[in-house]
Amino acid sequence: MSSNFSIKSLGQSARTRWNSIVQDFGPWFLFFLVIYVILLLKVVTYHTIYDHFFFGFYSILITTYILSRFILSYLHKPISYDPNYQPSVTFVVPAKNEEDNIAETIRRFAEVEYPKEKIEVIAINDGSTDRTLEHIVRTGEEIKNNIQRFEVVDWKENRGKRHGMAEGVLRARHDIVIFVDSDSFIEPDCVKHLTKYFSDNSVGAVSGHTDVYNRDTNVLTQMQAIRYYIAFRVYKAAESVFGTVTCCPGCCSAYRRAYLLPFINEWLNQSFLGERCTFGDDRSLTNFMIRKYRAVYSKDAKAHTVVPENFGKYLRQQQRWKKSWVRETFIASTFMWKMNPIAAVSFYSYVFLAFSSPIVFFRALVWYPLMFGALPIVYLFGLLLMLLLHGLYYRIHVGPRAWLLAICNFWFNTVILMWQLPWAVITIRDSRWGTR
Amino acid sequence: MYFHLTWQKFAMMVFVCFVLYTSLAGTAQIRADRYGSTPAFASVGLALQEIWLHVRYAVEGSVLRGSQLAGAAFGFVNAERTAANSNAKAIPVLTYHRIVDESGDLNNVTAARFRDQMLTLKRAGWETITLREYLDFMNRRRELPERSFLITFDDGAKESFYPVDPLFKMLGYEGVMYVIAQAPHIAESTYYLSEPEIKRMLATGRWEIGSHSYDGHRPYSSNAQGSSAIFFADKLWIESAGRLESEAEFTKRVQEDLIRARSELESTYGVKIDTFAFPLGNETGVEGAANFPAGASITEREAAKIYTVGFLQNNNQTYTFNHPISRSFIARRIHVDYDWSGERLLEEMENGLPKNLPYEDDFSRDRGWLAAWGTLDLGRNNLSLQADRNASSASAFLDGSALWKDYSFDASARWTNGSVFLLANLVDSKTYDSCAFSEGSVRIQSMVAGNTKTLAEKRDSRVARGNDVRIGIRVHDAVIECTWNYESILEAYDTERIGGIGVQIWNPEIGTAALQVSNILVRPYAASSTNPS
Repeated sequence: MSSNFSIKSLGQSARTRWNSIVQDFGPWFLFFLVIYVILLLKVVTYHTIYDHFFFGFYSILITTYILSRFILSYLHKPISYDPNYQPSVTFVVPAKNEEDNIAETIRRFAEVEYPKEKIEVIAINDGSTDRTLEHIVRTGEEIKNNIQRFEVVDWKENRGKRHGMAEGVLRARHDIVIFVDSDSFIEPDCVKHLTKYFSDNSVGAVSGHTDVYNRDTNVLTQMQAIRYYIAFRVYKAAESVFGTVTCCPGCCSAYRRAYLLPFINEWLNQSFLGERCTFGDDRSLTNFMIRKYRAVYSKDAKAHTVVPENFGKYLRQQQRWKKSWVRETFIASTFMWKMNPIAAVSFYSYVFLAFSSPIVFFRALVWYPLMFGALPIVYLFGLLLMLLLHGLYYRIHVGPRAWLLAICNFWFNTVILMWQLPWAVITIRDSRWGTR
Repeated sequence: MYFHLTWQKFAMMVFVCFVLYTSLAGTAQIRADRYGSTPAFASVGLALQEIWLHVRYAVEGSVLRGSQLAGAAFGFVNAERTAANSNAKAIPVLTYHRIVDESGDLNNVTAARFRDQMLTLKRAGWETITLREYLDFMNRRRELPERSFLITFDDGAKESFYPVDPLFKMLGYEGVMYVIAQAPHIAESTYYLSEPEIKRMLATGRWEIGSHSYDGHRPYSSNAQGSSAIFFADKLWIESAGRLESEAEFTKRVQEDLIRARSELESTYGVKIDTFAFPLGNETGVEGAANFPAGASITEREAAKIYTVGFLQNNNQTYTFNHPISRSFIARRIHVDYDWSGERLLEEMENGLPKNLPYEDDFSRDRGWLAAWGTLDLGRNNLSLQADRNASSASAFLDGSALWKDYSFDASARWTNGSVFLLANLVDSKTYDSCAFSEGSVRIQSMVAGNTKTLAEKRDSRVARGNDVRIGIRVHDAVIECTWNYESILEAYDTERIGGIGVQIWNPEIGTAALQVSNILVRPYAASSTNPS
């Protein structure tokens, strides 16, 4: 009987493993099937590059760009955590009117798997008009015995997130500054997976992996969840291979304080086209950093952030990001050519693609149908395949969630968000939509 | 650099690249093998269509076969021909062009209608034959069961093959494709079948091919302005010389095209090409621009030297079926019109079947009367024949009567003007014997290829117009007799012939000739034929 039992359990565990392979096989098969169809499409439409160089070039470049992101992310180097290397860290949380989330954000700093004497928390109340300060103080009292030091900076007047971040950097006494947004929540093992990269002296910044906290609220947040996941796991990971992550986002990223100090004032007072820069603080800070040091991505350093739940808020957020993207990309393009050739080519390719895509979209969906009655079947089919590819990647790694929404998401992205870029360029000097 | 390439990752990437490359190369190879130079997206469309139709007909076929309930109604799909009780005496040949999704023009039948036509024919026991079987039958080298027919498709278009083949597979039918020999070489054609597609079509065993010229199907010009001319009927304009070609040049050009088509098709596809379907319709373009009246017959003469059979569309001047007795090079095809239902096509086919004697017709329905000229109306239990507005006569004959021999043909008619003709021994609309009844006289005439010869003539005061006259013609051996009220009133001799019956009306006053026949009876000839009542 006992031998029977063991055989049975062996069989079961083998079956479980087999089942998971079989379950993964379907999506992976589809994933490569989509790549096959994309390549097939490129092969049979190769002549379009002769028909029109610009659009042919665009078509080949965008395919190469996207597929190469998947390959590079696959080749991203995993670093293992070394318990002998534990630099001290300072959490910096600027907050304005965040009474709903701030307590939870701060509470999690005391729950991390890290020596408590190496943790410092600086919370900045940036002129909140609600009970944010009260929550900060009370939570500080709760956790102060589990960490080395807790400090509250209380500004009666709102000065802006950038000032809050700079203040935190200046007041910090520890080696590594971890910025966490007041509506983001870190996982207990987040810190060690952020700090492990700093054992390399050339690393100045590490981006954590942020997922959407309120993913299941509605379709909009579900779509953003897919977008976040892909943006981090594929696109940031690909940049990270060369240490040129262009944005270590404010929701959860670590910076080496010693490297920040020389330019923190220059960054704080940054202006562009004569206007004071008041948003895109994270991208801007990373941009200062990667001129001399590396910025990488740690997929194991997990955090969760609250994303806009209604469309208007989402659009305004995207518009801010686009504007800062335009500004910082312009700045980055002055030095990215000095980087690793693949990183540089990737960077300039992306810039080219971002600015060309509205033109290509317009030609395929408006110009050709109107002028020649040609339906944009190939364009839309190609787009659909690309979106499907991202959706399948999400499905494989996250499980059977609403991955098909990836398609809606990117459609949406194409049709609406694509046009934000030209609009952002036009309104680049208008800084009224400051952060939050 | 946070770049990490292990042997495992490397091997995985090589493997994925290999699989992707192999798949792409394999896809390209399959495309080249199956669709030749067909453009990529069209190939995908065809592949999807093939898959969809094969699945659809596989399901439909198995449902039709498998269902016990439907067994009685749909058993026909499965049914091999139930030991046909008689042998075929003549074979009809159908002409199709493309089978299209939506009816846009008169030449092409829609897929739904085509399906209806084929299922209706199958249900009624009609079975296709191969070209080889057809040729052997026509040469009297083999017997075929009654209700055998040949299906042909002109031009070699993709839409003649892809929508048709899965249906044929289900029904066990076969088809003949008349290919324009030059067309499969048109690169990236979405219209014509490419060479690999034709080879694949032949490999199904359901298809044969014939010649539809080398390049004689498209419009040519007959003058400097480019007025359209028909390759096989008109003299073409020689641009370099600034003149029309001579007769010798016409003959040479036609000859070369016909020979080239045959040799090209035979060498490319490794099959024997015996048959030729004249491009562009009825009489090799005689009805077209025609700047050269002799052109069509030169083409026929030249084609007959190169091919065994030349197919023309039926034009109501002869029987719709092809009989072994006619040793002529020209054979006839029934053009299936775009608006024929399955029932209509079946009616055409059944009406053309050789009819047996005795034959009685009360005109309660159309049993296969064809108007050679004039207007024919078969409503209201009458055969009503009327000359066209600019003509002095009208003529009709009975399809399926071609093999009749030694019979008496009696008709009850309302004869109110002109002369009425009863035709017998009718080979086609221009070759027959006739009794011509005029007011106060009767005449026996022989018409051969349009040339009339009077064999006998007699004044007889009994012969007079009336609302219900009884007229008749008897043919037996070489004798032709005319009867009035079932009484023989005139007799003559002609060369012995076999052939069917017809009626004609003639009145010199243009557009007035009219005749109504209410009843006819055709009986095998007996010396003592009398009043049937």
